[in-house]
Amino acid sequence: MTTNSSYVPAGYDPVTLEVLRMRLDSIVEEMGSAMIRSSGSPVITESGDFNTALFDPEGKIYSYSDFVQFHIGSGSVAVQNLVAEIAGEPLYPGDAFICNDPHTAGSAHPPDTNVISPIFYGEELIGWAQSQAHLVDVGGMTPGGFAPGAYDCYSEALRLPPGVKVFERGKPVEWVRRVLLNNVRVPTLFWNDVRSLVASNNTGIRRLCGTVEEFGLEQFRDHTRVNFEIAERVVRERIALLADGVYTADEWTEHNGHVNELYRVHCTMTKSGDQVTMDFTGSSPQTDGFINLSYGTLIGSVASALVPILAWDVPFNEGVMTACTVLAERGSLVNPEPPAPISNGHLTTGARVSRLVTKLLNEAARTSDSELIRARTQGVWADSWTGGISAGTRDDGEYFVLFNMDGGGMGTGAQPVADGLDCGGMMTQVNNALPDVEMNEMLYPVLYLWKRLNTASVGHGAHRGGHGHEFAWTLHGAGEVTQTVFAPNAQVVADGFGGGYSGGGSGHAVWRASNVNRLIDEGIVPTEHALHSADRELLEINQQGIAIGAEDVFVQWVAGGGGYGDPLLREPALVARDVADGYVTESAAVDVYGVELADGAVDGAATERRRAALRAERLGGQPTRPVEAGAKADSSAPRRDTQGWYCPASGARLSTGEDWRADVLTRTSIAAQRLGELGVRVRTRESEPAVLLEELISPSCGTLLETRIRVAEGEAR
Amino acid sequence: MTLHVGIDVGGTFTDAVAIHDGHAVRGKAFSTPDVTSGILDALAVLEDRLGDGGDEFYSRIDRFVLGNTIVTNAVDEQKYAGVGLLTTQGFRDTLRIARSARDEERDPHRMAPPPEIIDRNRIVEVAERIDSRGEVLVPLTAEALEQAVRRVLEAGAESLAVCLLWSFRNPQHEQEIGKYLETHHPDLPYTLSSALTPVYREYERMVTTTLDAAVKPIVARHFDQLAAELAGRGLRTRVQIMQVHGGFLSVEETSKAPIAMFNSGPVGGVTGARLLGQRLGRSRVLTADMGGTSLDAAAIIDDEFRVLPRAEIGGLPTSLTAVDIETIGAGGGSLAWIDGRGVMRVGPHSAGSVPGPACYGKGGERPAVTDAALVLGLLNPDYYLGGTVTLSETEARRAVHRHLAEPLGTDTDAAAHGVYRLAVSQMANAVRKITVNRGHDPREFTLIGFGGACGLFAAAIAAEIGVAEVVIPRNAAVFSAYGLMHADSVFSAVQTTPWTFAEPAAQLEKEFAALEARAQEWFETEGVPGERRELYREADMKFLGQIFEVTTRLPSKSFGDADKDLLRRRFIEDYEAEFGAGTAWTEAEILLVNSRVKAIGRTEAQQITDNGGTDERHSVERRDCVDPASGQRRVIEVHRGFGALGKAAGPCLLEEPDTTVYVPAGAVVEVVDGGHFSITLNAV
Repeated sequence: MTTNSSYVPAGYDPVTLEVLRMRLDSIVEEMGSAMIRSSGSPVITESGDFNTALFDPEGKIYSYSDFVQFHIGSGSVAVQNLVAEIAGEPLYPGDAFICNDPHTAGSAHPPDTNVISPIFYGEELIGWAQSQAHLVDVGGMTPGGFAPGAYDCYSEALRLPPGVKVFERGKPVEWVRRVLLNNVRVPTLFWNDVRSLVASNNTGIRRLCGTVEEFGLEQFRDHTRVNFEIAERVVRERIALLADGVYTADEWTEHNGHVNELYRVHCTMTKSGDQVTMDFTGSSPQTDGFINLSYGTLIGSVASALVPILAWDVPFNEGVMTACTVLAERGSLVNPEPPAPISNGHLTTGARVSRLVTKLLNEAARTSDSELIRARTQGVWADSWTGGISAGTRDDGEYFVLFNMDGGGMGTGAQPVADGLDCGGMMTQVNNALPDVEMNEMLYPVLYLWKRLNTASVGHGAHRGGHGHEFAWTLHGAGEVTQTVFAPNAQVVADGFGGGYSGGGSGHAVWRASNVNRLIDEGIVPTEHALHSADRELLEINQQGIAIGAEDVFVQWVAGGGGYGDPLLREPALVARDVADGYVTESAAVDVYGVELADGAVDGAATERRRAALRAERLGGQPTRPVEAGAKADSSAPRRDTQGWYCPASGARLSTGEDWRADVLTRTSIAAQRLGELGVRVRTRESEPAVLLEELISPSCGTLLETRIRVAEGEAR
Repeated sequence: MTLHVGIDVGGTFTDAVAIHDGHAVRGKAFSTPDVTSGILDALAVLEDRLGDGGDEFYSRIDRFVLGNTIVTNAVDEQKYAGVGLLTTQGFRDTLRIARSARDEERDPHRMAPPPEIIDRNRIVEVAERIDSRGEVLVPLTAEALEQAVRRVLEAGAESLAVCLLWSFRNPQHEQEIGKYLETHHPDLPYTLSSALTPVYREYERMVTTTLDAAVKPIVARHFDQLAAELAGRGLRTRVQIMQVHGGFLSVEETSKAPIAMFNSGPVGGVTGARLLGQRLGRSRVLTADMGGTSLDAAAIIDDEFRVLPRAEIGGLPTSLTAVDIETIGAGGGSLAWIDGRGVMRVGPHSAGSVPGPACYGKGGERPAVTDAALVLGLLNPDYYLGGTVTLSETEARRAVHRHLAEPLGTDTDAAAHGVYRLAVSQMANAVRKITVNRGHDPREFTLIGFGGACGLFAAAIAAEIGVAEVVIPRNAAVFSAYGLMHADSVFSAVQTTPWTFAEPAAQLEKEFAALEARAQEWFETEGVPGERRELYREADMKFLGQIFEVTTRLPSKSFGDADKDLLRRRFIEDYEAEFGAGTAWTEAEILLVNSRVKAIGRTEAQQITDNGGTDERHSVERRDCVDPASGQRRVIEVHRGFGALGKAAGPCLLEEPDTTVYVPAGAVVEVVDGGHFSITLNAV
């Protein structure tokens, strides 16, 4: 253990600081539990799509709950804009403000509704309690608030800016309530959820006042300030361990709801000393489809990646984010202005921002002198959310909307210490949860035919990315539904790291006029193999108004995470286990991992020969340098010493220049095609620009140093 | 003449208590890996102390209650039988998808799938399908059944879990598989999800069923061995086994669903606290059971502890109900450490029993909570656990100095005091959670603290959450075993049966009647005498659109259309008691999800006149220690044999063979009810 007492300033008792920190964390947790227990929305109770937090009077986060991380940014902007908006207006204990407008109130998308209440200690304003949840409906052109067909934000939802008082001195403001309920499809449910957001804030207010009473106002203020500073210093020290430099990277949002174009998300990260600046200048201009990302959620999407990478063990408060400055041009995809529609920006462009930050920090961490920091490199997460919303009328006449939370089943990126987590969800989705089959079948007229791991989704590598999942349903108790889908990670899939491959993408299909009902009538389970259909219709990346009938089967598959390290470095016994488990096919074991099995067990000698042959194949000739036996998962990622770049797996020198990539062997291919050869399913892009996969290979040892997805430059907008 | 024996198998020790005509006698032995030998060793000590010869002792036992850790051990160590699983075609990956295994962990290095109970090649799909209304869509054919069973046995299954979709609605297919197994593989232990836990959500049902089948062969072996040993020694009465829901069952019933034995250990203490609260006339009791690695807190209101659905077992959610216990990783063995910010933290990692805290001198180098208590002077190194273990103050000081004081740049006393405060703060947050989160005010409660180290912390926890009275049972081991012996015998049958008020009452009545018939059958097989039988009906209900249900209790009498109003009213009352006045969704329709019948065979409480502790004379010494309330060194009085003194003002310490009690300044401690210590805070 190192001596790091310096984080706690002289004169402060670290124990009191920690007691206060734990108390604040327990308060936001208690707020969350109040919300879960009183809420009626499965989105809140089942999937944890909400957050609770306490802020200081200016809008700095005291404490933030262990749920969706986006709202670190969206909640902050909501509180800060509220403070600015209502300056000089009367404010009382028992007041509560409601807002949901991404443009003016930071919200991730209109259904994410915030209730913010002032916290008074005696006469004095000492902070804000903030609770936010995804409400089932907020009006607008489509039920559920995702509007792929919208061209502007006015059609998306009822827009509530900062400063709408919904409770005054503990009582609902009746005229506001009337306006709200007149504009939403399920008014009872909506108002109940507003009540539970208020209940959550009330819990927070009561407990915070008790805490201030106990600690004394001066000590409370002083100690929360110091806790900000401590968190900031730890993160700054870690940033200082990243290599100084200017790093750039791109990600691409696919399809804006109307057209299948690619929209650039660009970031220049300048890391100097203990400060990073993330400048998103160069990103695409805002578009007239629903993929624009609110500024608040841009901050939240940066935080969603930054926290697990640099502050994985630091209790969260405002201080964690202080060392990171985020810049974005007004009117761009990542900082849009009205009338840009915005109802899916967080799950598309926001997810791309988290992926971009992961890639940039991978670059800055890989050459760090600190092993601790180098170990924060990882395969990129499938990060995105695959939507499926079905609306229709049951046979018994009841109208229903199935907002299928199975969309959160993406695989996470592989880690230097382990494979990625199966169905882990987005980076931002702390405490993610998927529904039970029985839950969805009980509430909605669908019959699942299967729900299983999507084995075509895993990014191969010395450590594998996590699996996404795949499911199919047919209608059962309804004749027809209207379907909305979005599959934001279909063509430009998640990168691996250090020789790990990309994971597969998401998508939807409708198997039209199938024999599903005939099979059931004949007593046969409609498996993938038993089902026949007139047409397996691949749906658009974003599409709405799709009619699904009683003879159709709806299939959704969800993306997987990127791998870590050259697959030829994977422990052969792990590959044998994957084959036994059915996660990896025998042919992939041989052709991707170079592992030969005999009766299910690893044939050591044959594996060695196979791996040597695959390295030679990569080079088109014999390697001149052997890879060391037992080389670790992280040893295929190039590292740098005083003499330049080298491959740790073999010790082979790669380059003496700044950019090692210019000096190694690069094989470029169409991503969907090449990954398809490896058993990984990626949607083929049928129009310009092409999506390419680059494989970078060490010329002397045949080690796969890196693979990356690249969009053919100059052809994209 | 009565002789009741209670056995509490713990991680380190097996405690046995005999209550012989109101006198308690204790026996202690080391727990053994086979569990049985430890039980027999502890019984041998009892036999010896009761002075019986021959087989008299065993044959005279009227009642034999066992709190068993065999299932807890199997789950904690993940040592399962080679279980196989049959599931509906298309859904083989349910346990792996695990409804997303993402929890609150922020570090991707530590994100991991849930612990594997089963090898994937022993999960076999069966061609069949039943829908949400319970209608058979794809019938299970004899051929499909045989093929699936053959495949899972070929894969090496030693026991079988069967969990099909919607089997709780229509158990036909599972029952057909059960019948087939009985006929063709009579020795193969198996569990049907529709019999074990017929409730919706296939993930939890599958976890529970698989765990149950995975421990069945282990439990069967253990019980066979134990029964043979005890019968051979002359035991005539039936052995009763403590369950996680707070009651006990016979060995035979337990073997049908052994998973319900999991973590029944803490339940003995909660039951003991319930009895003690009853005797002291306290209607609201909080329990704090502080062991080596964790603190378990529970609330008892009006003589009842709360039972929660969806109990967690070994990091996995199950569909079992369990006593609502809040557990946090803060116990005597919890390690203190410095985190990335240079700030001290306590737990959740523990030194365990090997190597244990540094002061055990068994090679532990990292400072634990017990080390801090020793440094502060709160523990007597020569009188720990009544002098059975000698503690090394030097080792404790070294560990606290090196790993905490030095990096923090402070002195050893201050660092140890910091550990104490952080441990208290965490425990107070957990205890507060069990009250505030359930809608209660902690200030109305009495805190009953037990388990090795709790006496040192209970008063400080109480002060932090505003509890005014603390009771520390004088003899913790007797206390738990006593509780164990006085638990009720409990059986509960549940069925998911959606019903709304628009439907006829007769429909619901039919479900309840069927469940009651099962309960009556159980009374008979268990031989519960008529006057001790109690039956309750419970309904898990929610407003349409909500996800979680609230349980409402109904009288056990025929439910007719005239009773609908009462049911609706009671539900709204219970709902608002839980979530606060005015929170009920009065506009929404109410849905009844599960009906449940709970059968209780009440146990007659026995008065104990002698608590079985050592009957010392009072003595007092003065010791220089750090007062945990102020952090200042001062000389305080340390009492032994406090029972003989009866009352004192804090600050002081009471040293007893099982525990040490800290009484802060401003509080008064007195002996109540024949030997327990009651601390009144803010008494002066």
